[in-house]
Amino acid sequence: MKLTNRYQHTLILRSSMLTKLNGLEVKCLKLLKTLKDLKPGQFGIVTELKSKGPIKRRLIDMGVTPGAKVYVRKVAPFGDPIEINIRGYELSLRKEEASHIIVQSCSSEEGK
Amino acid sequence: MKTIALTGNPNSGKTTLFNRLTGSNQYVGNWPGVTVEKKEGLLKKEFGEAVITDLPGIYSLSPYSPEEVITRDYILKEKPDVIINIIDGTNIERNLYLTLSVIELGRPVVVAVNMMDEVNSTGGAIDCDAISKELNVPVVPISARKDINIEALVRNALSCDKAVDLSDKIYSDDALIAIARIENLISEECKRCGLPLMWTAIKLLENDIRIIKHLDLPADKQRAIDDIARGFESTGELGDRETMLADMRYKFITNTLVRKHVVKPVKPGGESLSDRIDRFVTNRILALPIFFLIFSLIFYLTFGPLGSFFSNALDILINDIVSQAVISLLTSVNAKEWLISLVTKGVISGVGGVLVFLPQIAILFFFLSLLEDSGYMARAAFIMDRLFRRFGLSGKSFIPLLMGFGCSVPAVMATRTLENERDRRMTIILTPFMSCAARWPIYALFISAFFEEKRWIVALGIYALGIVVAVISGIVLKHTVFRGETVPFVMELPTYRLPTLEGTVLQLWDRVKEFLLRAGTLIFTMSIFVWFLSNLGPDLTVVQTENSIFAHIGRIIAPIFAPLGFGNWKASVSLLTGLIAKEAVVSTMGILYGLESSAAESGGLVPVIMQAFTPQSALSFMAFALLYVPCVSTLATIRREMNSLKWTAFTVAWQLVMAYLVSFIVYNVSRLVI
Repeated sequence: MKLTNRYQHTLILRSSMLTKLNGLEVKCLKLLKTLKDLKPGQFGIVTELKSKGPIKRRLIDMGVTPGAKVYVRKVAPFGDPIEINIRGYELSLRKEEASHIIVQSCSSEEGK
Repeated sequence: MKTIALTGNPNSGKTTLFNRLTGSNQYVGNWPGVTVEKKEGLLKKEFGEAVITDLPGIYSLSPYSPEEVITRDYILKEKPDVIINIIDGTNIERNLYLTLSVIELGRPVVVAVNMMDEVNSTGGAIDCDAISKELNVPVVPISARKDINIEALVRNALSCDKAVDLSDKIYSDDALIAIARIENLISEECKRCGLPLMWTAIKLLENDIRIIKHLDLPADKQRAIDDIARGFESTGELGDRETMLADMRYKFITNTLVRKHVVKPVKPGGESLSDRIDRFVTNRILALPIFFLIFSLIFYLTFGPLGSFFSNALDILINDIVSQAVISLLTSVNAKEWLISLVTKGVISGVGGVLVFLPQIAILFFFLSLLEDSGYMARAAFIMDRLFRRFGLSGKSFIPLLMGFGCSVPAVMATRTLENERDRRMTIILTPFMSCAARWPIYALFISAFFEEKRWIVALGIYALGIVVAVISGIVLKHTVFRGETVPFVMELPTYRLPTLEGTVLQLWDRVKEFLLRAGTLIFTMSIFVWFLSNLGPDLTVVQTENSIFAHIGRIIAPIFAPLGFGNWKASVSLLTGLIAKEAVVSTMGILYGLESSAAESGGLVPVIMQAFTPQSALSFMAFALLYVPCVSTLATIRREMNSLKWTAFTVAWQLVMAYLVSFIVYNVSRLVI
């Protein structure tokens, strides 16, 4: 288990890249997570939608498409849903939906 | 006359623009077959001549939500001369997505970039001319709220007559080839159905279920299209056609339009004003106190001193001044006694009994529309979602449930914001348990009679009882009838905006008009009906109330209510008339008990009620009145919104069972306690 983690980590470092999000210089890692796993204050880039049917279409129509940058703003007081910023507006969705959205997690250079 | 259709995202300022364009020349109806509100209006004279149709606020033209289907069906079938697509300049990227979908429908389009004042004042900029060149349609910067450039928008709309095709710019070569091949296959069917060829081909490539059903292609053609689509899917990395096409549209918006021609506003400290407000309003710790503070304040103002003051003033006006004036007028022309009784005790007390709620309903809707327009309602749904999910609902159910405290009719209609059928049905079933304003006089009467010292405890208790029953029903239904998957929740949290007085007043006027109309028609007729039933015997002659038709019916059904403590025919009849309108329970009691003690004009019902009920049966009666079947207007609305007789019947049955059960418990428990 530990070995795989370390192996993944080196991969991450080698393939990390720089990109600009909301005017902030951020480093994006090739480490894939679900949107649910991002913490408030973290950035990510959508890589894949695993949702199905009308819900997938709704997410796409709302601009949650591969390549779109997301910023997790906060979690609702009762722990769900979450609020994200995408394409310059605020969208809320439940953790259940977020768990079907695969993102590449990014960290800002300021170490946010 | 030219026809203009207005489309746009929710929160894009569409309603404000519609009001600017039409002034007060507007009327509200329904789209045929569905219950989504349809607004139409005449263009203001100074702008020219045209009819404007306000289409529902939507994000895209997918086949999944009724609003989106209505919009595209309207544009395809009615072929408006021009479509004004209003977009929010402060959120242009996502708003343009709908623009591309609308342009694709093949009608002339004019784009209105709204909130330009806000864009400019926050340091942003949008090059509308450049975007207009890229899209090949007029793009007009406006501010609907500040009334800027509306005339230029109308001028463009009235002179625009060409539809454009952007597919070459948006879609990849592989997509275009696939679209062309599908076009070849379906040209005949398209002509038969009267659908634009290219749009239909794109929809088929997108696997649009409604279009596939509508075209009803022969199996070999459908297979060929599936093959083309599979071939197209293999050309991209994203893997499925719907995502691939949407991705191309968004790429076009980002790369060709936004990146080149839009300067996004600089937010001080990376935070907009909305973000800063949300730091408090949806804050982990502060969110709930703020939430409860806001809604307690609204309820206090509605049902507390302010609302009561207006209600009482109206009550005095109608029941003392108007009623007396009518009596002396009728007496002076020697009208028959039964006619005076019909007019005063039937019509005036019936309709008047409803009208006294107008101030409270107006106050409540005034605040609700303020909350809606400011953007707080979406936050309320965001905050409450987790809690509501426990009862099998969604955060969005919160809005209809809250409106249920005002009137169940608009509340049930408000469930349209819930996209999911299951959530909608559940919310509709539970909404009538929220005690509507019309039920308040029932409680007020019984509280005055029995619980004057504990006024607030009993009043709050009865409202709480409704909520508790709704919660229990929700949990039970979630695990029985609605067992199965939980449904998704994807909702925009719009930027906070100061509501405009004009918008709020117009919206309020719509509600008030609806209410007055109901009072003037349904309740007017019902009041006369009730008077006749309670004054005529089975042989249709004027008799004492004890021998009236109502008394006969009441005596038959009264034993059913005996276990609940109010097995007398007057209470039973009052509940029966409550089906026609909840306000009628008290006005029927007024007629039934009032006629009996005809000498006691003043003093009201309270002393009579104190004789007819015990504190225990009063509590039980209040609980029953709270929970049993709502009025016919609500039932008709439920029937329309559920779009199913079976579900309507289920709703009624559920409510009757709950009402009987809970009243039974209340009666027997209170007999032990009090």
